[in-house]
Amino acid sequence: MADVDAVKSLSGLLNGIAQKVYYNNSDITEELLKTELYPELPQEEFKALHEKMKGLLKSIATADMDHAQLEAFLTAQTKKQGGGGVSAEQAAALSRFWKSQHIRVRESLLAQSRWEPSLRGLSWRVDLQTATSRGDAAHSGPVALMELELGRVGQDSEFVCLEFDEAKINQVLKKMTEIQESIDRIVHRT
Amino acid sequence: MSSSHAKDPSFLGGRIPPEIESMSKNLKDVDQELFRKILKAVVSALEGKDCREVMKSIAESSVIPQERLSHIIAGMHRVLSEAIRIPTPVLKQEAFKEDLRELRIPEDFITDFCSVVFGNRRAVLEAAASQKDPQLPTVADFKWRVDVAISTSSLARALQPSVLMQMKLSDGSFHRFEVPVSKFQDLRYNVALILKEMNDLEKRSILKIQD
Repeated sequence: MADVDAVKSLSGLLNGIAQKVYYNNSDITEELLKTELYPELPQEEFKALHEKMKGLLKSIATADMDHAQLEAFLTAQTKKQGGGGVSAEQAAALSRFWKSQHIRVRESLLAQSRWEPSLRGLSWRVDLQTATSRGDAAHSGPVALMELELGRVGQDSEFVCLEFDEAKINQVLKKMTEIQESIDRIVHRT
Repeated sequence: MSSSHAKDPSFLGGRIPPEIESMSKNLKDVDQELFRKILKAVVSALEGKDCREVMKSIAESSVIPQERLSHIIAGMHRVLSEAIRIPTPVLKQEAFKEDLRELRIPEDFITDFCSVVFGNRRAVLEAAASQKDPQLPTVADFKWRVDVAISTSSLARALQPSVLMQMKLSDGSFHRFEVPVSKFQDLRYNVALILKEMNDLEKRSILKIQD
């Protein structure tokens, strides 16, 4: 019974650390984690546990370990003598956590190195002009209106509205083909 | 039955714009040379050129008082703007002439108006007019770059390609933004879809407004 609780608490702790450090959840604090997960544990012991787990997660995340690397790392950690090692239980919890969360954590870390706003969303529509107040619209063709949603992590989005005629859309599509070819060359090499 | 019922409404619509009415009142004593000078300047203005200097010299060199001149210029500007709005298949030259005759505009001036509205200058005027429509900015320049982040301060081995785009818009603004590869696929797919929609729209002839 105690083991199940211990496992749950450990998973909770790892998730809590991820929320705070990687997912920008400011509601999670060290005190909250202690109160919710380890109310009986003395303060210094909890602090030590928290720091240890945080450090281990950081090593795993920064190296973006794959399954083999993680197993090797955790095995090495369990073999460590003294207080620096991890228990088999802790290793298992870390392994489980990383299996389910590594993609999300990696995304979060990549986002930390993005300093330009990124494209968050796109909406568009195609109109046909039937009349305008000043000109002869019967000769004009379809017009595409596009709204780009741009934003940085943690900031509100900026919406940029653009207009394209058919010729322009063609040009843009050509450039996109060039970009795709460039990406394919790079991805192929790595 | 009076003949006014059989005639189509004037190209100017139900109500004659006031500046055109006052123009026809003020066209007495205007000789053809002066009329043509003003017409040339008004056409220039409609093409988007700055004609303050020209207007000034016309005003200075003419015996006609400035106030009357301004009525004439305003009226001529309106006649041409309204005529350019209507596509040529709809606006017939004879009907246009009749409408101007009803406004008591002298025949010679009517001929001069016709030469602008139905002549080869018309395309330029139409193009200039469509520039003044409400418009959203368009993309004036579009540069891109594909980067691969090898390593970052947060991730030792990133190896993440991403696309950096820089757009300069017709209103002078710049937008630089990053597009992750997955979002780029999305973007490319949508642009292709837009093009398909535009092509389909043109094929649908019911939407070609025939007069």
